[in-house]
Amino acid sequence: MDSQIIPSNPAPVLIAKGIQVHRRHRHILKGVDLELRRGEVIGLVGANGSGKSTFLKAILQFIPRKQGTIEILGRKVESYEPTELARKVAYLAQENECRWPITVARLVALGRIPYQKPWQENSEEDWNIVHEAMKTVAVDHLAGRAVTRLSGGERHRVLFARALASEPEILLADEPTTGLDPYHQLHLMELLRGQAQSGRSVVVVLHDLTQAARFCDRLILLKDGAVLASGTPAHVVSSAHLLSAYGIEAKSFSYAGEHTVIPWSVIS
Amino acid sequence: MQTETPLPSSEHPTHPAFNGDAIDRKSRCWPTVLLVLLAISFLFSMLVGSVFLTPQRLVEGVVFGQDSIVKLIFWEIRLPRALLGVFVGFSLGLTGAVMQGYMRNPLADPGVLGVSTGAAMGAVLMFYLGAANLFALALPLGGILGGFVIIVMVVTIAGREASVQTLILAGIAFSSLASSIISLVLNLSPNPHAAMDIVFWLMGSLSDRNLQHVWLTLPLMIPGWLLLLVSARALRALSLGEETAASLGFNLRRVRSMIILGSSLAVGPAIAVSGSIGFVGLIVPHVMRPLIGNDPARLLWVSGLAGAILLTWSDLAVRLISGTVEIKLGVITALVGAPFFFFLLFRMRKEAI
Repeated sequence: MDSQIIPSNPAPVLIAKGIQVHRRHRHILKGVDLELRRGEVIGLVGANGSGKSTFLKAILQFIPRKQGTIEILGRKVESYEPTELARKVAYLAQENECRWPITVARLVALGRIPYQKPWQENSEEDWNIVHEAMKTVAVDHLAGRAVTRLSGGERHRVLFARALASEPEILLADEPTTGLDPYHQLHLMELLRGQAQSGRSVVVVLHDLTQAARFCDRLILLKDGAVLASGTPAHVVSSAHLLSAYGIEAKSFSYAGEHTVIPWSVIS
Repeated sequence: MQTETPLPSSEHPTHPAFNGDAIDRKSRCWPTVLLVLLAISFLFSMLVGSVFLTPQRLVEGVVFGQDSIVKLIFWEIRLPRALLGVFVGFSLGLTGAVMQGYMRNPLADPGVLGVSTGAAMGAVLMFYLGAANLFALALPLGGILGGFVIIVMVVTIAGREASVQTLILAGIAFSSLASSIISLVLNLSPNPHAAMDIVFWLMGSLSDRNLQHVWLTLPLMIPGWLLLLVSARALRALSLGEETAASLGFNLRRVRSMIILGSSLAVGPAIAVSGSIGFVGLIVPHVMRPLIGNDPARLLWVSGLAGAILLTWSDLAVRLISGTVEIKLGVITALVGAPFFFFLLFRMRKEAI
C-alpha cells in the first residue's frame, strides 16, 4: 500500500479517497484511492475482476459506493448536476457498438448533448467542435460514413472523438485498446497522451502492461479490490507486484531511458 | 454550367466540405411532408365508405346543415372512425419507435411489455362478464384497465433495477399469461357466437365506434405521447449503450419510468378501443429509419405520423374491400406487414453477401 508523491505537482482535478463498493454482500472495492492531476495519465491495471471498471463506474456515480469521498475539480461529486458532471468528465465505455447506422458525424455529435437544452439541435458551434474532435483523431474523412461500416480501429477512434466532443477536463477510458491491432493500439495511446499534453487528465484501464508502463505517468495496480501498488511504472510493474497481482513472471528492462516490461510466463 | 465535383477539403481550414447540417436538413422536412399526407388521408377518409360523398356534399351537409344524413354520417360514423385511426396509428407508430430505440432492438414492438395483450385480455373479460352488452364503453374501459394491470405486474416483478432484458422477459411472461386467460375465456364460451364475437373483436376494427370512444382514450393517450416524445434525446444517447448514455448526463431510471408509463398510456387505450392491431408499430419505424438518417430521436415524430397514415389507409382499405363481411383492420395490417418483412429479409441477405 505504498504511493509516492511527484514533486512540483499541479492541482489535482480528481481525488477519490477510500472508495468501497459492495454488491450483494461481496466487497468489490475495499478502499481504493486515486489522485489525478492536470495533464496526467494514470493507468489502472490488475487482473480480470480486480475492480478496475467498477472503480471507474463508482467515480461516475453509476454504482453506489459504501464508503469514500470523490472530489472533482475541488467540489464534491454529489454537488454536480448530471449534465454538469457530463461536461467535466467524459467516459469511454467498454461497450463500443453503436446500435443504429447513424453517420460518424452524428455519433460524435452525441458528445454535445450535455451542452444542449432538451429540444436544441446542433448549432454551428457544436458542429465546429465535432469537426475539431474528428480531426484530432483523424476520422474527419469518415464524417458521412455509417458507423456500422467502420473497421474496429476506426470505430474506437470515432468513439474517442465522441468523448472529446464533450470537451471534458477528465477522460475516463475503460480498455480503449482492447481488440485493436498494434498500429491502432499505439495510435490510441498516443492520442490519449496527446490529450494529457493539451491539459486534460486521463484515467485509463489497461491490460497491456507494456503499454501501461510506457504511456502512463503513474499506475495503480489493483488486486481483489484493493490497491496493491501505486506510483511510477518502474515502481508498480516490479516482478514481485506482477507475481502477486497476476501470478506471472515478467521481464523488465530499460530501453532508451524508458522502463519496459514484457509479461513472460505463468507462474502459478 | 460548372460540373466540377468538390474535392475532399480536409486541408482547408474553413472546412466547407464538412457539413453535419446537410444530413439534418434533408431529414427535417419529413414531419411536415407526413403531416400533409396525413391531412389528405384524413380528408379522404371522410369521403369514402358505404356511402361515397363528394367534398361539396360533405361541406354542404356538415357546415351548412343542408343534408341531415350527411351530417349524421360525418359525426356518428366517419369522424370518430377517422380520428381513432389517426390516434391509434400514432400511438402504435410512436411507441414502436420508442421501444426499438430504448431496447436497442429492431424487433421490439409496442406490445413488448405486455400492455397490448393486457388490454386485449381486459376487453375479452368484459365480453365474458357480459358487460359488453350492458354499456358500450365497457370494452375500452376493461381494455385500459387490463393493460394497466399487466404493466403494473411487469414492473413489480421486474423490479426497480430492472435491465432491459429483465423487462423483456417479464413482458413476455405476462403477455403469455394474458394470452392464456384470453384462451381460457374462449374455451369457456357458452356458445360459438360468443366465441366468434371475441375472436372478431381481437382481429381489430374501427367500425361502430363513436366520439365517446375518442373522449375516453384521448385524455390518456396525449400525456402518453408527451412522455414518449420527451424521451427522444435519451434514446439518441442510448444508441451507444446505457453506460455512455448515463455518462452524458441521463438518469436512466427516470428515462425508463417515463417510457414505461408513456407506452402504457399510449398503447393500452389504443388497443382497448380498436382491438389487437399488429405490425404497425413494428414496421413503421423500419420504413422511416432511412429517411431520417437512422437517428432514434428524429424517428419518433415521423413514426407516429406514418403509423397514423398507415392505419388510416388500412381502414380505408377495409371500407373499400369489405363486401357483406367486414374484413378486419388487424387482418389488413398483418397482410401488409408480413410481405414487408420479406422485403427486409431480402435486403438484409443482400447486404450480408
